[in-house]
Amino acid sequence: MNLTDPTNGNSAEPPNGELDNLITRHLDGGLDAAEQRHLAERLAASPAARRTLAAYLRLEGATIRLASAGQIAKPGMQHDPATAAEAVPGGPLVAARPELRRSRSMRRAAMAVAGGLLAAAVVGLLVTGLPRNEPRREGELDLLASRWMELQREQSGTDAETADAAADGDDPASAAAPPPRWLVAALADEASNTASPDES
Amino acid sequence: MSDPRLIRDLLRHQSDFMAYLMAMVRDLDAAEEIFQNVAVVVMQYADGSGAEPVRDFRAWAKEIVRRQALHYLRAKGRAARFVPTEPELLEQIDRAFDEDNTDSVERQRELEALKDCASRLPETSRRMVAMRYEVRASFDDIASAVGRTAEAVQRSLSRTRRLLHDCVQSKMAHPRGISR
Repeated sequence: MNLTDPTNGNSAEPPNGELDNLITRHLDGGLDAAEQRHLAERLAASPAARRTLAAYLRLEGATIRLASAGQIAKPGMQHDPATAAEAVPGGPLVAARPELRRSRSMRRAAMAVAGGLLAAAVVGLLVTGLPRNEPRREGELDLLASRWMELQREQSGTDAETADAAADGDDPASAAAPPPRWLVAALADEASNTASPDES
Repeated sequence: MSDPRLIRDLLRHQSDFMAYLMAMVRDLDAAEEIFQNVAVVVMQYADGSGAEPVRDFRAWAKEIVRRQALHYLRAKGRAARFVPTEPELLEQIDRAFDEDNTDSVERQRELEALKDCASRLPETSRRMVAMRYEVRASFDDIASAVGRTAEAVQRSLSRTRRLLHDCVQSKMAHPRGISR
């Protein structure tokens, strides 16, 4: 069964349509102040309404988690950076809005590079079992990165027996192996703000 | 001295807190930046000597998340075009988050259900969700890519979220899945 296409505007209202509508519009930033207060009143008056909001928050969290693992888009969808890069440097969004070349797409490119480097470091760590590079700076983000890698290594040891099962499918939990996006973004930002890395 | 459990717990609760932040600030990039600041605070605490043990990590870390989010909202509130989240609503979001005691097993089941539900979305809806959450595209950017107005994209994404919610709830109520 396919879900009804919501883009045609004819999908049926669920039983608690107004509450759902208020919550989803709020999450997309679509409520004005009066509507926000109305939603707050509904939530204050009803534990069931708060449970509905909590369910939407869990859905939001799960969506973010799937997106972080790249498990929402179909392979080859136009937004896919791998295919978009072949057509237009920076992807279709940048083609539509050239000014994004300097801002968002550059930041995401930096994130992708940083993510790749970090993922490679993690893979190397997992393969060798030894840290090849000690953090060169005393910065908090380096500490976070190294700690994250340590935890990944611990996890790989304790979860060894479940690894085969996870590798058989596309279990989202196993797909959580890439570094967290916030960490990648932070490292990318720090890298872009550093004039010359202290490599030598 | 250092307590790696705090960082591990933070990563375990990452999507939980990101959703809470999204409800508060309604901006995925902002939520991520705030979470990054939270991670630094937790990290400093974990590395601090003489730190008190944390008994209820979710409640403890949520308070850090909430304070960081309020700090962001206060700073952002000075911007002319920013529509702030009403204090009454922030209070109820906080309450709903605190009252939610869904365990990790249930959350994992919901994640699996969502994955299946997302795969059943019509192509355009799925693409818009992917652009919004994977590429972090704005409504304007998505609108340019799919040939619609930003308002239409916003409405469509809201409807898609409702569809996914109903689909997940249906699958949770009937574990064998949606009838095909």
